[in-house]
Amino acid sequence: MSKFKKEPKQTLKTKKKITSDEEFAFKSVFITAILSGFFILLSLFLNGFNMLSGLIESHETHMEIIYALINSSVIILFFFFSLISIGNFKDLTGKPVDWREIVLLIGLSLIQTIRNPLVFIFTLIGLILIVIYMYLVQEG
Amino acid sequence: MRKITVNILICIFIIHIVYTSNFLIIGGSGALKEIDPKFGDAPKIDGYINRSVNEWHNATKVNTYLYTNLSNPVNGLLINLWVMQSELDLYISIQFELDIYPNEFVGILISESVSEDEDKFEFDDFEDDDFEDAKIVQFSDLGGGNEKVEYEDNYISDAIFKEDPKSNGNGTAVVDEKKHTYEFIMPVNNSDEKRDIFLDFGEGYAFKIVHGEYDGNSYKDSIDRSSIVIIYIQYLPPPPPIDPIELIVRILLIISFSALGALYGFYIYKVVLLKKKVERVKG
Repeated sequence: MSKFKKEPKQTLKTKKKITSDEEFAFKSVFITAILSGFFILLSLFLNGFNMLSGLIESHETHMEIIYALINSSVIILFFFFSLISIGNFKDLTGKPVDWREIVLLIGLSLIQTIRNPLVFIFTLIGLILIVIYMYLVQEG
Repeated sequence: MRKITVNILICIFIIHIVYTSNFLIIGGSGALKEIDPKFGDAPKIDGYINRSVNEWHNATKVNTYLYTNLSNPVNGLLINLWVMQSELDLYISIQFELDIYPNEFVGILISESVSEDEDKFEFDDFEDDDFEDAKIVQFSDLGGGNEKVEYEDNYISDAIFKEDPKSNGNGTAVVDEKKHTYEFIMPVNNSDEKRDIFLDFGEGYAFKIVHGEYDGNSYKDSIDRSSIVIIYIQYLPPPPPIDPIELIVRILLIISFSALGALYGFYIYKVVLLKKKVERVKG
């Protein structure tokens, strides 16, 4: 008779699945964190470029709108990837994403828009849509 | 009564003659125009005045004459002379109406800085030798099939125009029927070329505007008309003061991004810690 109890095949499979899920979650946390970091840098560059050159503050309306769309897209993508990264991170710790973290992320996103009211409006609309989408997905 | 009226009319006539002759003396005897250029948006040096974007809008605009003989300045060719500064450049536009010459050129000859002690300058105050730098826009085959326009930066040594090995500034021209428009740009306070006149802030320089048809040998002998003006290079205007709200926004932005960077770093640190912790538990 064997000294060791054979683990049932089902449990082994489950363990493997959990390990693989964990690895996947860690990968996802890292990749989305790197992406959000990239978008922070891009947003910093756009704000700095605007501040230093003043080129975007040209009097051409279409240029201003294009700049505002690019800048707000960058900030929205930062919010999106940060939310996924934090969500997965919290998932790994066994806790759900708190509303305070979402508010903090929204605050951090909106603070990047203080130089340009047009960017602020576009970003706010984008963030609201993402939050509504996330809420609906969760509810679903 | 009639005698009094006649006397009054004679007095008015004499006053009028004295007054107008004063202008004739200024225009004709060689009293030079002195120009303090204004600052404005840099125009495009393409030979066209683009009024839709207010090109040359801020330029100091004067009318003067190019004379065939500066010692006897009469019957000159009327030119519009526009002068302005933008950042570290001086811009000059010369416009006039004249028949077309195939090898026409317009040059700007520059002297060393003029003395500030003199109240008024006259043509006779300057000799040909005083001008050491020449910026020339030269046409070839103007109005023909092989029309070409070139900018040349020359220096003048012993009255001979020699091509500057390192060209500074730029210029071009467009001739539309009889309307000639020449545009020049030259650096202010930033020329490192010894053969160029260094245009310094706060200094005045004599600019001799010359027009002629190049004979293929010598610019000096090809000059048909000329005039001299004094241009005082203006200091750069002080930068506008920063708006306090703008300053606060900038500081807030710097603080925000610093905080964002710190939070991001902290988050990555927490993720790494968690990964290590999980690996330790697994091990």
